[in-house]
Amino acid sequence: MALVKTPLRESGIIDGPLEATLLSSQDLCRDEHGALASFVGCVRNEHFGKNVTHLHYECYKPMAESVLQSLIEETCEKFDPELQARVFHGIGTMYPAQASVVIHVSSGHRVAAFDACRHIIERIKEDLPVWKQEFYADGTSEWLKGS
Amino acid sequence: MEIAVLYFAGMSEHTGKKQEVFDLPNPCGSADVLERVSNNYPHLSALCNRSRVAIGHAFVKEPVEINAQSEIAIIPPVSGG
Repeated sequence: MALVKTPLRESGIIDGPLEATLLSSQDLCRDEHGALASFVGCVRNEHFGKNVTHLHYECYKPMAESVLQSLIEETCEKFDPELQARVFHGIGTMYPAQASVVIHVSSGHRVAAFDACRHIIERIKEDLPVWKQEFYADGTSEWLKGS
Repeated sequence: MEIAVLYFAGMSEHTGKKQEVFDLPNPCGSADVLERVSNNYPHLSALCNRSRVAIGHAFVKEPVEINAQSEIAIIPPVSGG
């Protein structure tokens, strides 16, 4: 009987900034994969001219975990059924240059890997129940309304 | 029927609550939930208009009937990433 290898598709919501943002190709790529695309979203110190000191991410965790995994499955159906992915979003307090979201996608070819990586971050911004509260140098704060 | 509704982010901040129980007619749908929240908090009606409802950890599209055991959440515009 032929061994059917289940594609690696991991996702999760993690407390705090994401520390391990880099990935060895051998940690995700199958032998038949020729491309590994990664996206790391970081905290920016500026928003529409305001000086951002830090962010606080809140989430609806059970739904966010479910949505993240669904987004990966949706992406596989759209770009490559053999695609493998690791997708993690951090929550809690984060400071400029710290990583809040990490996406790694491996695929047979670069176009599918790039497109899938882009698709996942865009869909995260549409549907992942995570909310960003920005804190500014002038002492004010604001919940962002979409991004 | 009593249903518990979860609030997050600005919705939680402006209501001062993480969760609230409403007495709604049986049957009722996701639009009824948003309407009740909007009526109770007129200053949040604009935010309610831009919010979605999730039942059982999934976004719902009308018409969806809600029961008292459902986990119901108001999902204001998300801003992850």
